[in-house]
Amino acid sequence: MIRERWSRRELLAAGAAVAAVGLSRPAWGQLRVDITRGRVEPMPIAVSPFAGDRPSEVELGRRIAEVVAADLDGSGWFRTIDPRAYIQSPDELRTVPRFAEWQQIGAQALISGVVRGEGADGMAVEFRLWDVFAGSQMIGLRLVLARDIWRRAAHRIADAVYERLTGESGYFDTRIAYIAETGPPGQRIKRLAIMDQDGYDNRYLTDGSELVLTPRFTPDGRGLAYLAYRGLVPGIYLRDLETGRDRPLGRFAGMNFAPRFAPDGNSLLLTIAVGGNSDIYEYEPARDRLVRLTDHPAIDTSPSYAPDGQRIVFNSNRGGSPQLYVMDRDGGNVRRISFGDGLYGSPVWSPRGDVIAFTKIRGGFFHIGVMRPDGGEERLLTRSFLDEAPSFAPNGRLILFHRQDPLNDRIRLMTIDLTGYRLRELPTATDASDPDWSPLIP
Amino acid sequence: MRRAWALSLLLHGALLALVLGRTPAPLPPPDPPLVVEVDLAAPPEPEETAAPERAETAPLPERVPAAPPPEPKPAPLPDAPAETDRPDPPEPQPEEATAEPQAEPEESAPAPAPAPPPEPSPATPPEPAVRELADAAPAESPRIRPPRPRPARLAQARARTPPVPRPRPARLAQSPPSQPDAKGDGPPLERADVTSPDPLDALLRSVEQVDRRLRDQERQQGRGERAEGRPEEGADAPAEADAGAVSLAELQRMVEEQVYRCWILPVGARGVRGLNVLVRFSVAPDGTVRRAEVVDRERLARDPLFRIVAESAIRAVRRCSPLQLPKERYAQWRAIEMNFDLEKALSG
Repeated sequence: MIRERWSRRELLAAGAAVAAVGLSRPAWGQLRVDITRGRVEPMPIAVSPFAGDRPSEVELGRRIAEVVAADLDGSGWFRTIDPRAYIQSPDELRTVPRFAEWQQIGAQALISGVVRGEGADGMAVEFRLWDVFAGSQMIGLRLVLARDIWRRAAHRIADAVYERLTGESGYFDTRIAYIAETGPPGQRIKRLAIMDQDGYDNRYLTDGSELVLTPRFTPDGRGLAYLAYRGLVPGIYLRDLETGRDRPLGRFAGMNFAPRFAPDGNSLLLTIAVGGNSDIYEYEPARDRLVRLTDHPAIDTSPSYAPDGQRIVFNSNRGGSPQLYVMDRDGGNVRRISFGDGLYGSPVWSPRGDVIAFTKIRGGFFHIGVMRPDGGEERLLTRSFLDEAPSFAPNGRLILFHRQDPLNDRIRLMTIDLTGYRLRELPTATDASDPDWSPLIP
Repeated sequence: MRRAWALSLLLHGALLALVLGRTPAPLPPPDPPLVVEVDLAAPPEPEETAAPERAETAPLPERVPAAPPPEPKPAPLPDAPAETDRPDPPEPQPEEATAEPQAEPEESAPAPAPAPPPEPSPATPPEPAVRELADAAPAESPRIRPPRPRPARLAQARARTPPVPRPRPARLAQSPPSQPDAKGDGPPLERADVTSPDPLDALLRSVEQVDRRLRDQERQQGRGERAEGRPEEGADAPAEADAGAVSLAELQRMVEEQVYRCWILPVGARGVRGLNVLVRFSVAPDGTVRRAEVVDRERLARDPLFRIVAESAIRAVRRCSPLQLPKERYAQWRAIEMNFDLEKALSG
């Protein structure tokens, strides 16, 4: 997508041109200005409905553009401009746009595209991203896919645009697993559910006849591990998302919570309580190998691997109150990283490795916060009656969590971005808790 | 025999029921045949055969706009010849369109957007599309609700606030302008590393820091309005007044004042911190920015993040074009070198 290699000759030519310019003009830098401020605001972007030859294609083109726009808007980094302001039609945008017209409506970037049916149920989607002020094409891509998964094409397009304009990888072509909760308090029915990142295509993976908890995607996104009570002993099951089949990963004497995968997908971190004392274990299903990592009379729980798999962050009250600790993967070198007042829990390491997200309880409020893995630069991003269960988007820029409303007891899914400015609700049909964000869908 | 068969049937049935019961809603394969095919070149643009790399590397095509900015006609082709050659009501011949590589419209002369002087985003719909959650838990929300960026409002607020020559107040103005008084009675502030060495983090929000910032901002704004009087006028005046009165420093300030308002800081990526981009512009006598050239072309070609910052810088200047500068001093500003200092912009 990005071709920027300069041949030697071109470099020389460019150098010569610069030199020539230098000679023929007054020296550069006659006026030199430092620009040391700017604005933090979303980039205005126009997303034209995609063109098509047949009515069905036109309709699909309109819907794809809507999904792309919703994704970009939802990221907080972009502000899509109302299509009613667009002067050029989708058909006119099959060629190079008239940039001046897009500048007039304030667009800094423009997305155009064409949808073509291919065969009985296939389609090809071509799209282009334009830099309106430079008057140049920034991306041109063609996707071929089955017509019924057109939403994924839209998410992929949004991912490509997001990546090209922000420099971060996208996160739109992803899913979210969560626990769907229904029924009155005390008789809650909990089902494992999964949906697209934008809330579409919601499905229930269990029927509610058993208690299910803590869904976690496998690192390749193809499976979902969760905890289920089938009988009295809870077990960890792995749902294959392609076949729909369940496979038990293991049952353990004593309670266990929150399985979490190692980045390589070969092992899981578990918390197992024996005689009322919780400790952290690493379990390797392929070899049925269980290794105890902590051995402390205090409660150790909620472990999460660093993305390189070499360290583990967890929660322990060994210092007198629940705080965050980091240890090496073999359980050695334990050190406390949280020192603020208040109680800490539910740590999860960002897939980018730069921060650890956590829940903090202080002064009657719950917060979702982040800190560096060494404990520095703690920042609290949210505050409410009850915020819990943080989980990162695959690009590490957003955190998904659930929030309980004290007035009506509703539990909703929310996202907050790492800058702390963009809090959004992710609407779900039922109450929703314990969310987990998938990696990018392969 | 018959019994065995019946038993087998029964057991299989049970097994089937079990399996089905377990998996109420099997998902379709998560990775359907989604094929990303080749990159597309830009649509036809016959005469432009310049190195295609330029389209990517030099985000800045040379623009030679007609001196009098043509008024925005919605009619097709108010632009340069480059565009006239194109089949504008395009006959469905897209295969060709996509096949033919071309560079960006070198001379497309998109007519220096007639309107966008310093005031940014005037034409955009007032409704900020950053759709935020309506509110958090009703009880606590007034205090808890994270202040929204509200770009449009912010822009206006900033515009109204007299631009103070020093960057500090500007950075404060960047912090979210939400109901500061509603926050005053929040729980006591918490320890937080305000002295972060990381400039980006200085910009990030921490719920307790926001309270403080908002108060600072309030104070600054209040003071700014009173103390600064009307520096805006002071700054603009020389444009029409005696040229001799404008010092180099003032010229610099006038450029900076205009450009920073158009610069949307590319803070989406973590890696952009500390990036500085030096760009040279040539400016027409009417203030139209004609040409931009990133000084470090080598880095532009290999470093995507650097490119993102460079593009944002050039976009900013284009958006601010034409620059409003004293005509008598044209010799001094026909070529301007701007150093976009993201590090400072982020740390204030």
